[in-house]
Amino acid sequence: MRLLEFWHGHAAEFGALLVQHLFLVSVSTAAAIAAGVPLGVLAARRPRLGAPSVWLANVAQTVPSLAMFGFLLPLPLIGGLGARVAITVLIVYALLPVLRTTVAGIRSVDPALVEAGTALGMTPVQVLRQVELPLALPAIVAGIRVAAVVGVGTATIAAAVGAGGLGEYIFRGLAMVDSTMILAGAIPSAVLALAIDGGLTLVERHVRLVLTGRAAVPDRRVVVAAVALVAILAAAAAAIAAIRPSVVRVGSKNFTEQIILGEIVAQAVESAGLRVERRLNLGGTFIADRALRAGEIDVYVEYSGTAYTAVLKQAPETDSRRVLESVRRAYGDAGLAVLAPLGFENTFAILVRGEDARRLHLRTISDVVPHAGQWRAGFGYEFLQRADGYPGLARTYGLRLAAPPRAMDLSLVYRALAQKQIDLAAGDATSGLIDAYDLTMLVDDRHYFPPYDATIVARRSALLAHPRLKPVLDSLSGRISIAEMRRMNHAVDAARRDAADVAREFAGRLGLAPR
Amino acid sequence: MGYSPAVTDGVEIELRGVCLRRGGVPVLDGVDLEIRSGETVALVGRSGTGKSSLLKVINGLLRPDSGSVRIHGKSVDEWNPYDLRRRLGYVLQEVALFPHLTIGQNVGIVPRLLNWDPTRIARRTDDLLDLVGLPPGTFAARTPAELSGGQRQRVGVARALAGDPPILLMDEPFGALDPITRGEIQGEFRRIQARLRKAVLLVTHDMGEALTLGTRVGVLAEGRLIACDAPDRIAAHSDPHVRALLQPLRDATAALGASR
Repeated sequence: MRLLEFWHGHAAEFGALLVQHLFLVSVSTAAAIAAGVPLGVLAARRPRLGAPSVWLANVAQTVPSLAMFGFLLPLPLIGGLGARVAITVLIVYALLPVLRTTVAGIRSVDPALVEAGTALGMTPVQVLRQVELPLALPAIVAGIRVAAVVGVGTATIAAAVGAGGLGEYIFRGLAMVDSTMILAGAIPSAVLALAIDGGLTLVERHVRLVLTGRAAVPDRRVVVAAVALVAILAAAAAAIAAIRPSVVRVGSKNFTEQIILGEIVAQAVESAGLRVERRLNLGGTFIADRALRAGEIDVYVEYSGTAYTAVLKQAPETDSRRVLESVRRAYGDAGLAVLAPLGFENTFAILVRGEDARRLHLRTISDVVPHAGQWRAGFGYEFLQRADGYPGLARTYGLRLAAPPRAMDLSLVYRALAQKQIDLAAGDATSGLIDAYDLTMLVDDRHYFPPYDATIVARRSALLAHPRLKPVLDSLSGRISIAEMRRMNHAVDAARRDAADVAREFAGRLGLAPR
Repeated sequence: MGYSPAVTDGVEIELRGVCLRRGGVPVLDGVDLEIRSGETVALVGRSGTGKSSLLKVINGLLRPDSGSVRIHGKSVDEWNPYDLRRRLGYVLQEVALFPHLTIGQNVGIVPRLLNWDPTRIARRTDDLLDLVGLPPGTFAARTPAELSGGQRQRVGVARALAGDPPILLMDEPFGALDPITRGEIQGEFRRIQARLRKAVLLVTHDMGEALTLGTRVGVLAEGRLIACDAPDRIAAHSDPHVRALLQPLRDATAALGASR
């Protein structure tokens, strides 16, 4: 029922995403046919020349799709965010089935029929077009069916690079832990896959019937119309990819806080009278960073420690000023500007119950050490493992617990702490659940954790191209407190509010003119 | 297309000293042969005596190592191979009809390759199906899978004749048929040939068929044409290779005589 309400409430958006999805799949499948069939013919004719293409397609098939997006992003022409790179990736995946079945289909043609064609005076091209391809067609159609069905599934991942499609709901739903939204995207894409599979199975069966003389050959006009439709879609794709209006492209990674921050930045830029293109919900740090460097987005919010360790590959460092300075220098060399921090850190939070904090006057992590001997702790798996996680924390503070800490899913530690199953937990500093469960975050008085200051990073070329951009971005510096961020995360995650609305209210409180 | 009959007083196929080696082994060894319009030369020989190779030398699929092959007075080397093949009606072993085309489309292949206009192709297809005894109204829209072996064989002949070629090459055309159907279709072929008067080269391993259909019968043994003469003379020939090929016929006749 909630699912139906969701679709009803998002009808226009849902329709647009469905069309985008179909568009991605049809264009990429058409391109895979256009490339795969000739390559397959070549591979069947000249195994020595053709084998490498089959081999390459095989290897490409094993590359995880998100990694492939990352590799392709910085490349000219085929790279970049949006439909272009998604279509490229989808073509690569669709190529193997088409190529393989074409080779198998051509090889399965009775040599006597090829000889007959030749003896009757057909040129090699005529033998191919009039004898070999028609007879290989059922096999080729079977390959196209596999390619299209795989394409429907893979196209959901295209949302990670801002290409839209039904994956948009899946990714957004995952980021917001909203299973209704996940299903709103996953169910239609599964239905779509089944429908395409069924439709092409009928086509394949019909082709076989035609070939064995049990059905009529379809009207030539139908075939021409179908080919024309695909061609029009491909042309539209090229046109869409070519249009690059003069706008500021705002990106974000794929979790709630990032989407809210992306909205805040986008709305601020709009308030300065600039046109904005939102490319929110990109699939993680890797993709967002690649997109920024490739000029596919102009601005997004990064965390200083993440930039330092994950992007620049430095060992963890605890001095926040030193981290920010080295990030600023390295980004500067790459033509990127690191602006002043927004005012909050998204670091690990060592948490206790608010009532304990008040009763025992706990303010810092050092305050906990004397009590830890009677306490149980629960940590996320990651925190137990990481270089900047629990082992170092225990060493730095001389922390000794009653029992070895329990490993649990990060989303569960807040409730476990509130319900007194544990007494000490490590969570996310900006989680909305900290206030919701009346938990207290202890101060890292020995500065053990690396700094994760949220900071706007932007392309310097964009700042130069839009002189009003830098002042408006600077106006956000130091304006978002950790309490504010928690409230906004909570509003979206727990109260299921729209990130754009939450961002708009924030701007109103801040006195930024909303538009 | 520029074809005028009888420029070389009816000699359509002319082979002079044709030698062909494959993998160092001689397949054809000095074959001389002339075939005129209206003639049916039936080549007999055991399997592997170069019969099929001889047909491929004529339609340019194989190139002889020495000797000359002239079609309608012009060396095979001078012909565009596709033009040449479209003028050589070809009936293949096992027929090899295209399973994805109707009977009508199978018959119309060569006219299509010759770019005839569609109405002329349709008329021609109907005429030929009538000629081989398959009423087009019943058969043109059917597919090869729906036909019996004998009917398919007739379609194969019609397909070979469709482009109105002056020459007809037939590679074991009636090999896969039962004896009764075979007898029928052989009679039919003689009737058609009497009307159309093509230059026909027919290859078979069956001496009986060669004697029935050939106006001349050639005997191939180890790549050499050891005899080429009228059927009655071949039947009386003294060469041991020829006698060996005739032996099954004599056995059959003797068996018939004994049972009477």
